[in-house]
Amino acid sequence: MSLLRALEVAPAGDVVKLDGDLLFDPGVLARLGHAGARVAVDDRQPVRDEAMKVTVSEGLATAFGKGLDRGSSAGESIGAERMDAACRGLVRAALERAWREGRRDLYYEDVYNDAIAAGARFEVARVGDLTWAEVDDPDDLRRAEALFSAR
Amino acid sequence: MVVGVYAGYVSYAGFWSGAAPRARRRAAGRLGRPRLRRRPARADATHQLELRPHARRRRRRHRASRRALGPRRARLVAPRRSFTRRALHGRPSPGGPWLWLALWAVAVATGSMHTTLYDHFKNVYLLHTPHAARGQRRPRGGRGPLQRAPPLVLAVLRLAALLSVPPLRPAAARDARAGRPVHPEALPRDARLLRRGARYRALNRGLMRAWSFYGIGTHIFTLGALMALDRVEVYIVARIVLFNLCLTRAGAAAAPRVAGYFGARRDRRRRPRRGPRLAPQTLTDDRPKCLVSVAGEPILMRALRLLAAWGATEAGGHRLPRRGRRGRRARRVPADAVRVNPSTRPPRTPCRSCARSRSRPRETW
Repeated sequence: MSLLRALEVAPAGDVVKLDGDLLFDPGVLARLGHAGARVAVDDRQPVRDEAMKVTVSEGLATAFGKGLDRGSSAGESIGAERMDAACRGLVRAALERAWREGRRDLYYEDVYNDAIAAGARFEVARVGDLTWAEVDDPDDLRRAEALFSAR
Repeated sequence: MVVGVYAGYVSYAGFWSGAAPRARRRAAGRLGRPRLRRRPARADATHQLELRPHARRRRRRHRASRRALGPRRARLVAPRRSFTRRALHGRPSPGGPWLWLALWAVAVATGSMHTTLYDHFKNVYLLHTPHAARGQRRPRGGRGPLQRAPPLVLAVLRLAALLSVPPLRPAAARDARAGRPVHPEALPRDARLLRRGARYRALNRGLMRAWSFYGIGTHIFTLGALMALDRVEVYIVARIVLFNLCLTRAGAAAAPRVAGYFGARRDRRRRPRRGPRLAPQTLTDDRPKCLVSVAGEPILMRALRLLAAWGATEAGGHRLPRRGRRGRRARRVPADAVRVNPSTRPPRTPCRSCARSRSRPRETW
């Protein structure tokens, strides 16, 4: 619902979606580029069980999900995506469809799967060499403090 | 008129909780020296309670056995009343009628105080929601009866609120002491009352919803049922305990579950997640997770700063500052660019970028 509402109020054009608990290096935004639809994927860290995994084929994301096989995934989606107008329209349609059908406890990436099935194309921006952190619990917070306090 | 109604209400309930059973027991001979009356005093109104069929049958059987066996043995073979009747009837209430009258007054006064305070704080909250900040029509109930109350009543109720709500953690002052940027939620002039109001609502929302669900019909039915059972004191104690002692922290934690059990309507207002996994460190007591500071800067402010430096023009409907004229990047997002906590007053002046561009209405997060 929050993403649907944000897409409604955002002016026409490309949009960037960032998770609210995401800390990242400025280079992540640069990797997302200024055109097209891209999703930032960490392809270097070992993928945790609870991570939002991404499978990739020919440079394009084919599926998102926490339940994907770790071996077949290309990495972890860090929670930063860029959408161009076409992709944005497909994502918004998928969000509205999910809302109408009462599927309201979804991750953003579950809706991206619907959008991909409807024809959306997310290129993969590999950001494994950049610093990023997601703050979920006190351990994450300490790690983020250590990573970003010197910056 | 309200005072008159309350006085009648209290005296009526107090009489029935203490005085009437005492009078009935005296009439039935169970008060003072125990004795058996052949014919109870019919002039007593409570005598009517005794003239039920099973009571008449029991008395008739007892009289017959008394004639046959004599008074002493007849008492031994008198039919025993059931457990329920023994539990509910004839047992003297602890304390006298004045005790129960006083307890009833406490129950009514404290209950009324909390409902009134809740109404007051709800109105304070509504007056400072984004509706009011955007100049839209004020939601219904924006001005309640308490705002029209005499100043003395208002002062007493506010004092009661200050005493009943635990002190809040001064997050902004702590940030300032630590040298961190002060949050945009910080310190409007009446923040103290607003923040206390928010705290009061958070602590008591479930309880008040449960009370709303309870409603006047159920209330009167319960009171009437317990009066019929001659146990109004159960109602008084339940009301004092459930609706006043539950306002402790433990009670407040349990109350939302109670409200959910009663099917109370949940708050569907969209708001940032509170970060429950950070709650043990009390970091998300008074702010959403995205405003927790990391390396001296809230997560959200850092993201906005980087987005502005990258060239993004808007974030969540809010115009971001552009790069400087000479190619310098925007150093910081203005502190008043984001307002997440709805319990704080909106900034008095728009941020510089909004001041430059009046074409779009100001949006809040």
